[in-house]
Amino acid sequence: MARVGFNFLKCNVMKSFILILMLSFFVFGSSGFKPTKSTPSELSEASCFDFARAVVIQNDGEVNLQNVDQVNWITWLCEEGYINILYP
Amino acid sequence: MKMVKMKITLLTFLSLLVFETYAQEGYKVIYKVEPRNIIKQDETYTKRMKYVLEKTIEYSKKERYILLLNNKNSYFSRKARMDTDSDDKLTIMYSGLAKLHTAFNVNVFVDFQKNTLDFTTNLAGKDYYVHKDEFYNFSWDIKNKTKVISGLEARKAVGKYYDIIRDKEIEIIAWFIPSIPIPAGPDIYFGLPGLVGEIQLRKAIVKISSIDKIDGSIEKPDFEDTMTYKEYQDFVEKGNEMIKRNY
Repeated sequence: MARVGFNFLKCNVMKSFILILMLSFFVFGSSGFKPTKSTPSELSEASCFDFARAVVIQNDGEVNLQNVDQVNWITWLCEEGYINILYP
Repeated sequence: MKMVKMKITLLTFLSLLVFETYAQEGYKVIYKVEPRNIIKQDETYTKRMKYVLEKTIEYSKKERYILLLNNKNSYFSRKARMDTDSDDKLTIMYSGLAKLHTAFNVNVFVDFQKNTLDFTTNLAGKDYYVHKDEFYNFSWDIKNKTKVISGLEARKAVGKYYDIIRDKEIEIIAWFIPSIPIPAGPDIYFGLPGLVGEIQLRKAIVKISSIDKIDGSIEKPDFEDTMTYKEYQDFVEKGNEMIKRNY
């Protein structure tokens, strides 16, 4: 009894599609598909604040009266999409 | 007799004039910043975090500070830069983070005759003017170790002081130049028997990059609505309590 079915890899159209996809990835790399600037909706207020706080603590050891404006400024930059913390 | 009196008066006047001129001889010192490595090897960073920290170090290396000094006064301030003082939002961030490596006041004016200092400090993004009736007490311990800074022999001193912003005692290593016997230095770090040529802080080393002789008096800038040091201490204490609760 002959096997009836669809052989995925034997289909020329699918082969071409996979080849194009692989070539695209090779040419553009992983960053080629990424947006250059995140939209504010992508970043929650909490994650931006955590990022800003972490930057200031790494830079200055703690959050205090002298650097608290930096926490606020970086949080704002992140929320507005000027700093994209989701991508390198 | 009248002629002799006149001669004495003239001589005294001339002596005072020469002394005054000598007293106004001073120096213009430029300090550069060498940030300590804030990126720890054993720490895991996201790429974005590492990039921000590296960029901050890059900006920190560009920072320069000016100290004008003579026997009577000194005035310390940050040197403005075209490339790091732009209105660009990310530049403001890197520049702001870089300034934290030294955590210097905006400016500091010192009166060596009255033993007082006036400074502008930026807290939570706002400038405040403070008058302090006495110098910071570092209890300097002068060591025998010496090294050369900008072609001048400098001597090591170790001191400590209570940092009210960080609410802790902080040790400071300073190298002062005995051949320039003016007790001046960058920011609040002075009071040694010679100009401070290098200061080793928590996040950076600040050292002389150039020194030039200058003449003339050092004008005190306008410090408006100054608060006393006690008021400043109370303000910082309350502010830090609020930050601990919210940050």
